[in-house]
Amino acid sequence: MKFFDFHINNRNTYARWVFGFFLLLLIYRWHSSTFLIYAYGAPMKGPEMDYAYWITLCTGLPHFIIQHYWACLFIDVAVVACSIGCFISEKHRHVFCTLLILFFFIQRVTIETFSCSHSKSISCVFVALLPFCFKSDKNFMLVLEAGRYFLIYVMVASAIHKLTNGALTHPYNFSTVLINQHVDLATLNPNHICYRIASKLIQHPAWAAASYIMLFISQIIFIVGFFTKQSDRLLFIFLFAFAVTTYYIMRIYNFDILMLGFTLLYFPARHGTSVKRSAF
Amino acid sequence: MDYKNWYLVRLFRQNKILFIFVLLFIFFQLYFNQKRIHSFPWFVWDMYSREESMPDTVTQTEVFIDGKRLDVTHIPIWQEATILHTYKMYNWQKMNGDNDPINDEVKKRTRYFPERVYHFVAYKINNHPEESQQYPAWLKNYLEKRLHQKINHVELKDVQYKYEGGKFRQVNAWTVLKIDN
Repeated sequence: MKFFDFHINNRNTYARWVFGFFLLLLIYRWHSSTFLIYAYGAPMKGPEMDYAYWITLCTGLPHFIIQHYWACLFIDVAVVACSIGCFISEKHRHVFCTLLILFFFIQRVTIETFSCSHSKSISCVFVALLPFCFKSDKNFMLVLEAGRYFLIYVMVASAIHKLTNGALTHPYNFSTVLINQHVDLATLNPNHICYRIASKLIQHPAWAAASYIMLFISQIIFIVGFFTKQSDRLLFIFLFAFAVTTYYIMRIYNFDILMLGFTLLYFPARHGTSVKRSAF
Repeated sequence: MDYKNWYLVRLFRQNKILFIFVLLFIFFQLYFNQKRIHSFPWFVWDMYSREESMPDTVTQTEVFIDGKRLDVTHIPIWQEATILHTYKMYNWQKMNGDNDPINDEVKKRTRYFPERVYHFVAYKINNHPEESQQYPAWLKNYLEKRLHQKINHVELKDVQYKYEGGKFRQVNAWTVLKIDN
């Protein structure tokens, strides 16, 4: 199993993976019109209860940006240019990344507010970018480790909520979740791959229950990551499977979280050898 | 298990400023989790963790362009979300007499501040009647640009379905918004 030996042992290579993936996410966002120029002039705001969004809105900056096409274009171009800068430049990556976080935050707050659509998984992208704002290897590693623990927390918290909120004690309930989730597909496009998979589970609630329990297991297994880093590559496979299967079964976009998943593959080399990071 | 290897201990020893930031991050994560408030970057990660019941009927917003129903499953997820969620916000405000229902939350969050703070925050956060007046024209323009076609007539309907025998059967439908050229 060669994949289980796969790891990234060099900071620059790790940066190329992270920013290469980020550029792929940007291409997908461009395709799905998640750039400010597409939302230009949107009048309705929906910041929900988010304090960070409220504070940013109080500055008036998102209102100004969405009303001016050139400002939308400037922020979009700045996000793309800074991410290309991060991908290419090793020397000035910390500067490009600091700017990228700033522009990407403004872009996300503005577009999510004026599209009235909030995305949770975007926080994983910001946490994945943070280590690159630090020039020293020591601080880079410390922040990267914090990001790794954050990812583990997200997965474990999601599993624990399934247990404490009661859904896991009624796993047959998952077929009802799927019925409610896919009303649009059922009425418009029942041949869609997501609905064909979901309808099999809806018809067989025992299979739906089994898949929900498997989802729980694939998340709770991340608890191992709090105690050891030996299983990180295996956890990455679980994370990848989680992102793919939640799209095909639930039609939910979870690929942002994968960007933080690269922390599970980073084993920096010391003295010419790859070192397995110690527990904790 | 040597406690010196614990991440927080190593962090404290190597960079005290970062240690304080990480502790603050953990504190706010626990705080917002307890309060059940989603606030970037501290979200409550509880997706699909509750038992759901099958309602008697499900109401879905459907978009009709020049009399033909738009297949939202054929456009990217974000475009679908933008169309449906902005419409929901618009409809929510219209149903509340052109007042943004989020105003109650603005009042609650600014109750310890002078009155002028409330007015300032409400001006920035709330949707105002002049904004909802602009919405139909913006939506039509957005649909034209995303679908690359000239549109004469847009109609948004709320359609009620009943789930019976493994299929959804339409039981009711009403028009909520009509946009003409």
